[in-house]
Amino acid sequence: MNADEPIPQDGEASQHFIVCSDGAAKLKASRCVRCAGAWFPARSGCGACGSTAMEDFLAGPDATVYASTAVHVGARGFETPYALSYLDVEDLRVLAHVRTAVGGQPASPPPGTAVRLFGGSIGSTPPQATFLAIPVAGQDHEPTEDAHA
Amino acid sequence: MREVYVAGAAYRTFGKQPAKNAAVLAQESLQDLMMAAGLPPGRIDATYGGSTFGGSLMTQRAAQGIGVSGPPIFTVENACASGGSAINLAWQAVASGTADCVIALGAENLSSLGGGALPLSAQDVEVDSGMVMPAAYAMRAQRYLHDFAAPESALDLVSVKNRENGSLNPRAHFQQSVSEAQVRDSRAIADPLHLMHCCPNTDGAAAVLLSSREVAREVNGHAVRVAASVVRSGQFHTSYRDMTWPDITARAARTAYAMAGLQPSDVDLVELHDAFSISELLHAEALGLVGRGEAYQGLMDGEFHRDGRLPINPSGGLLSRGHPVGATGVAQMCEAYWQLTGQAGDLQTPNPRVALTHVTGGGIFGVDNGACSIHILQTDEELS
Repeated sequence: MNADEPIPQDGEASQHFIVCSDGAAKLKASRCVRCAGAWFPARSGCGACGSTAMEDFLAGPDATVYASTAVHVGARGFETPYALSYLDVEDLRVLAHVRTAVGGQPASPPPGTAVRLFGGSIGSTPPQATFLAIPVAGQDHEPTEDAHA
Repeated sequence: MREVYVAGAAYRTFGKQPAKNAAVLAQESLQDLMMAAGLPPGRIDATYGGSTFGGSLMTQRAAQGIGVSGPPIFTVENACASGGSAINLAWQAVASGTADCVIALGAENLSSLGGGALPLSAQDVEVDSGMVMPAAYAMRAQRYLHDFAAPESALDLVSVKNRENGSLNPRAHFQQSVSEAQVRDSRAIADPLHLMHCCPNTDGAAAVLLSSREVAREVNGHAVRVAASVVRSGQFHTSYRDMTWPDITARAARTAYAMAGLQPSDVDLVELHDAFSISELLHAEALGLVGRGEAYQGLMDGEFHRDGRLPINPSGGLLSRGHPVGATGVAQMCEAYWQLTGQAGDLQTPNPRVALTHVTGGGIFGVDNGACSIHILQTDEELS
C-alpha cells in the first residue's frame, strides 16, 4: 500500500482497494482474458501467459482464512505483535493484516475462519492505509474491540 | 555433456564474525580449498560466488586474495539459493567443456544487517505489509499442522534432532544440543514458531572445486561425481496455492532425479533447507523422501536421525550450522562431499553412496520461493 495515502473514505479508492459505504473493502484485481488467471494487485500484463488483455474486477469483501500467524519479531517499522493471514478471496490468495485477539493479544485465526475485509490502517512507521481482515462474528476468534478503529 | 566432479571442499566454522566482510570470509575458504587441492591459482578457469548481501564484485575481491584474477569471475544473487546457483553455473561451465577447473563459493556477513528477521526485497506488496520469512513459514506450519493433524511437538523435534547433529559438527554456529522444553519455551517469533525453530543469522563462507574427471585425478584427495545439478524459479501466480506443498522444490527434485537416473529411495543422506523447523518436514515430502503428510511421523519415529533410515541434515542443517544465506548451498555440498569420501569425522554416516543437497528461498509475493537448487552427488569407485 502507499504509505502516504490517507485511509479511503466512503466510496473512495486506494491504489489497491476501494471502501464501500458500510466500511467494507473490495480489492482491485484483474483477470486475464486469455487464460483467466486472476491477479492481485491488478496487473497490466498476465504473469502466467504474458497476455496484455486484462479485465479489472473487484474481489471481496468476504474471504476465508487459509493460514495465519501472530508475528512477534516482524519487519522493521511495524509495531509488534501483529497478525497476518493468507486469505482466499474469490479466486485470489491475498495477504492481509487480521484483527483478532485472545487474552488481549493478537491471535492466529485458524484455517477456514470466515472474515470480511474493511478499510483501515496498520501500525507501521509511517502508518499505512490498507485493508484489514476481521473475523465474522460467531466464530471462536472474535474481532478485537477496536477492530474497526 | 561431460561428467563433472567435486574435487575439493572447504569451509571454516560459521558464526558471528562481524569484523570480516563477505569477501574476507570467502577468501579464507578459498585459501583452505586451494591448499587442500594442491593446485596453483593459474589452473582455475572460472569462479562463481553466491552472495545476497556481499556487495558488488564480492567474488572478485575474494579471488584476488588467492591469486585468481583475469579469468571469468561472477557474483550470483538468488537469495537463499545463491550458493546452489553458483554451483550450478560452475557445473554448466565444466559440463559444457568451456572450463576444466572451476571454483564455486558462497559468502555472507549478516552481522552487518543487525539482528531480527532478514530484510526482504522492497516494492513487494507482501513485504510492504510486514511480511518476513518467519511469518511466511509460520503460516505454512499452521496449515501443515491443521491439514495433517500433526502435533506441534513435531516442530520441536526437528530442532532437537538438528541441534543434536550440530553438537558434533566443529563448523556449526550452534554446537550444543537442546531439549524439547528449551525449544518450546524459547522466545515466540511468529506463532507457532519460536526462536529455536528458526535458523540463526550467521556469517560464513564455503567453497568447492568442480572439475573434469581428468583434473579430479590430479587433485590431492578424493572426488565425487555430480549426478544432477538443477536450479528452478518459482511459478508466479496470485490464485489458490497449497502452501504445504513447496512446488518449486518438487519440480526441481523431479528434474534432478531424472538427470541422475535415480529414485528418492536411492538417496543415502540429505542436506536440505531447514531454515525453519517446518521447512524440513515440507521439503522432505516435496523431495519425495517420505509420503505426503507423513514427514512428521517419520521424524517422530527417528527415520531421519543420523542412525535412521535416511539421515536428514546430519551436519545439523541450517538450524545448527547457521544460514549465511549465499554460503549455505556450498556448505551443504562440502558436508555431502565429506560424507561420500569418508571424511566427515564425528558426523560420518555409514558408507553413503548418494547424497542430495537442497536450498530454496527468496521471499517475494506470488511464488512459494524465488529460487531453488538441488544437487545429487554420487561416489565414484576409482576417485572417491
